[in-house]
Amino acid sequence: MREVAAAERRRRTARLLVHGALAIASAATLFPLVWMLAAAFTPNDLILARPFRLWPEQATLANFAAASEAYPIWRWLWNSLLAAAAVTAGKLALSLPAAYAFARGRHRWRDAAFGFVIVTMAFPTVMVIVPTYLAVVRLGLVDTLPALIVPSIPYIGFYVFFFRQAMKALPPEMFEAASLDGAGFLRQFVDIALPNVAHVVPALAAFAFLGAWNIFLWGQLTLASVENKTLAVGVALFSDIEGAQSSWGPLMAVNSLAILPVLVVFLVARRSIERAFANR
Amino acid sequence: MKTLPLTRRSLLAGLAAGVAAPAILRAEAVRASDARIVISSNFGPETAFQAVVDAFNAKELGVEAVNQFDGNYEEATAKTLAAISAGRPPALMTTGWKFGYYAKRTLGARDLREIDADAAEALIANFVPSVHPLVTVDDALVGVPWAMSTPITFINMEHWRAAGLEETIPETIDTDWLYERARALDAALGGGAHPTFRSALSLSNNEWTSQSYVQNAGGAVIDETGTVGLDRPESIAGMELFCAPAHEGLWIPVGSREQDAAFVSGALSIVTTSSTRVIAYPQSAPFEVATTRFPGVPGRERRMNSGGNFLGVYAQDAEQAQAAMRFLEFCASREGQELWSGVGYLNSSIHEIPPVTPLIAAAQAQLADGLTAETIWPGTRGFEAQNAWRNWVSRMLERVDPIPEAMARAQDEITALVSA
Amino acid sequence: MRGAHGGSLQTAGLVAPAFFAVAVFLYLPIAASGLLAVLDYHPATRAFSYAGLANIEAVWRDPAFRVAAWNTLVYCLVLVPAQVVVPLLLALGLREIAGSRLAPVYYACLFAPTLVSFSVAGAVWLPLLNPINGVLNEMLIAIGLPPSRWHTDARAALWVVCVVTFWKTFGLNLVLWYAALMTIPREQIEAARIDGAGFFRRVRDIDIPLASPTAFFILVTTVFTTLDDIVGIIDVLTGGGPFERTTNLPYLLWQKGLVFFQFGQASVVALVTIAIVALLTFVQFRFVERRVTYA
Repeated sequence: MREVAAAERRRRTARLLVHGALAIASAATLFPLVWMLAAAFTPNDLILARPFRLWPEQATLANFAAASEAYPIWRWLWNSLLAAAAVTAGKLALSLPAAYAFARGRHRWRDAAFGFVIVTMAFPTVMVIVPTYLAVVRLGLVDTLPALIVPSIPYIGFYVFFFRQAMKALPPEMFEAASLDGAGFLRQFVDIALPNVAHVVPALAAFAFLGAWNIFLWGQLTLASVENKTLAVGVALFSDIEGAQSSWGPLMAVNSLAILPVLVVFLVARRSIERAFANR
Repeated sequence: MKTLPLTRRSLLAGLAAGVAAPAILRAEAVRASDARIVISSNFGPETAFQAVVDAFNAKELGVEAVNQFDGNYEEATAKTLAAISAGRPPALMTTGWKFGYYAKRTLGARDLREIDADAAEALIANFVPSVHPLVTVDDALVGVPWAMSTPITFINMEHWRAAGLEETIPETIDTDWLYERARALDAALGGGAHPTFRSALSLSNNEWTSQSYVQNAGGAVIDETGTVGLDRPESIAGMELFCAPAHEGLWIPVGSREQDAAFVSGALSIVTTSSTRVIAYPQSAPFEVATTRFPGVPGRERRMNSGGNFLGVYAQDAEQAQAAMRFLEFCASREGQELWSGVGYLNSSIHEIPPVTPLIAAAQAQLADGLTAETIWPGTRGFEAQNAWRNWVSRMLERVDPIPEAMARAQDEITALVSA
Repeated sequence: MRGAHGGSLQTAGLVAPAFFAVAVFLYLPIAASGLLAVLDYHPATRAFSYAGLANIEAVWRDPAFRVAAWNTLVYCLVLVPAQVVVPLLLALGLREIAGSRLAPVYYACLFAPTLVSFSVAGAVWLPLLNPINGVLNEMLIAIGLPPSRWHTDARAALWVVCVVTFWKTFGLNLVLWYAALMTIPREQIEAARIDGAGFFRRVRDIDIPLASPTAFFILVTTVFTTLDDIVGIIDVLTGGGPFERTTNLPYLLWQKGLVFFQFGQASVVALVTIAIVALLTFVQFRFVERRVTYA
């Protein structure tokens, strides 16, 4: 009996230690972002006066106003949303049917093609950047959103791999029953496969959205005009060559604005993410 | 003399009074036929450059100019190269003198005389003859030499007084004088004795102020004959003097953004950097700022270098090129120059422009002493050559290798790049 | 039975869009790199000329290339284990206190930086890291410690890039580990605990084997995302400096190709990177997948 009580005490101490460790880790991780938010709402001329703050003094929205006066930040927000939504839709549209065919279809090159597609998971994005850039140039698409969007879609290796696993895990009887009811291969994709993996689609959509939202180097290269930029690319404009007039406040305001939409996406997709990456 | 408070808003308000009425009447007719030219620039929407663009557009000459801020010289040059290889060059670009050859030989900057010979002659006549060579590359007139700066010394007077240093700062200083005062500042204010003081000195870790040291010591980065002169004893002595405060712990070498932020927040006592900061520093700093010449090398004749940028035409299209010329004409005019002076450049035009701030006197004095050009990196790979020299400067500041050895290796690497 | 599976044509039809997208946008550029590697590009005239082996020789002689190759290895050796192990420990901690009202708060805080873009990460970290009077140094000074020069210190810069990259990306693996761990039946862990198995033994004998498909997946993807993610951080934090000390192969590729427009040399670097990635992929599948226990 006493042993049980001692074990219980030990467990409580352990839990306390875990809480302590996680609290420290969380505070350290969040600190730069808290600092950023505090700066975003602090009047610009006060920011440099005191480097350390966790809360804005004389809280103001002036930095957001100043940022939107200097640059079309709402247009950037719209461009970011558009690009991220398009890339997400493109990735799902390519990977879901392919994953289904790799899971359930029959073709003698099926497995070879599967390997061909998923190995691209390993490709660093800058590896293809020079030839892709040349192609975009030849097609006259520089400084357009499609130039940002289209080459960003084919990184689908992970999505194909993941959806195939999910579809393979579905009981074959479901498909066989549908087949007996006269549903063809494509019908089964729409009626059986898609609805049964629908719960994990938001998880992958969220990751696709996040990836596209944050495209930086490729965006710097392809988006030249001020009004065509996305938030991730436009942020760079807040530092000037005669930089002492650095607008720290407006910069941090735009930074904060750039996080909000992806935060919402992840909050919405939270349950789906937990289900998607549970061990199958 | 008072500092001219030149913001985009005050300018537009002023203009509105004068031009609004006729402008509204003519607006419709002009818009439709406007040629739209993009200027890739190093200046954001809150700067005097934007004021120049806005004032030009308000004139409604049938050309609409758009300021496209593309970052610093290096970033903007890379972006313009990308745009050129995409077949969509900006009509105009501002870029450093230092990329003059690169602009002509790699980016294909247009010869203004070839676009419109008469207009080009009229244009260049607005600028003092001594700056004409700066925009003459391979016998072509590659731009308007409208922005000249030179590195000078900026002092935080609050620190200065707190350390008990002399109230009157000499007009000409040398490194002995400067380093001695940096040591005094460090001794008096360091170790927590002053709430915001963190470091006494920052000489700018880049290719430009290091060139000043090399030249002031009698050496050359690249001499008049185009020969790289880094392995000369004078050049080595200059770099030894440049690196000494860093090796002594008086200078923490950082990038220019960090340097500016540290100075205006009262952490740095002395900065040597571009004279254009005469506008930005007093605007952001809550303390008195003083300026004086860049430090010379004791016992040597001063041989300071200039810097700044020129506006070149990159449009291949005839209509765009003509439209660009209209913009350049406005820039060269008295009105354009007066607005432009708000960025803090030295006046290189023949127009009488009142100084924007008394702080610029140090730079003007340096100009009167005579300035050489900053290093204009030759060859099609000049951009890489500059990068190489910057890396070597950093290495020497970090004491990675002994300075004579580093200079010998820099000599080889840069010689190979500039002859490409 | 036959009707439940797709025919050859239907299968091919469904795979085709993905297959061709990957072929055109990912494989074709690699093939093109092979061609570009032996060409010289002239930006002003937008023309190419044959360069022979000059580009390969130039890259081979470039000291930055050797530093970049070495750094690529160092970054992987430091970041991959960190990105795998630290999120696992955090996920184990989160599971330990699952049910506590603070658990979701910790989870959200730890994941938050994963949401920011590289440009934002750079803009936030640069003022924190200012070597003269940045926020971190002011904090160090306040508690009586010597300040650091962080990313401008040639000896420390690489580590600063590692820390910021880690900060920006570990959240993803945390999510993956946590989801996998939460599906392991509690009874099994409790049983082991009652048998007297300590924390590390339970992790080794129960958690890792039961989560091994996820573990394998994390290991594989971390190697590749790490290669990629560092580029963004290098670009915003150090630009490869001080004097190329923080560069790696993908960043060198970016710099040579799209800053200096030496397409040929950039393509040589791309080909070397591809070779390394292929080798890594082979090694991983060969030696790691064998040890995965599929549930």
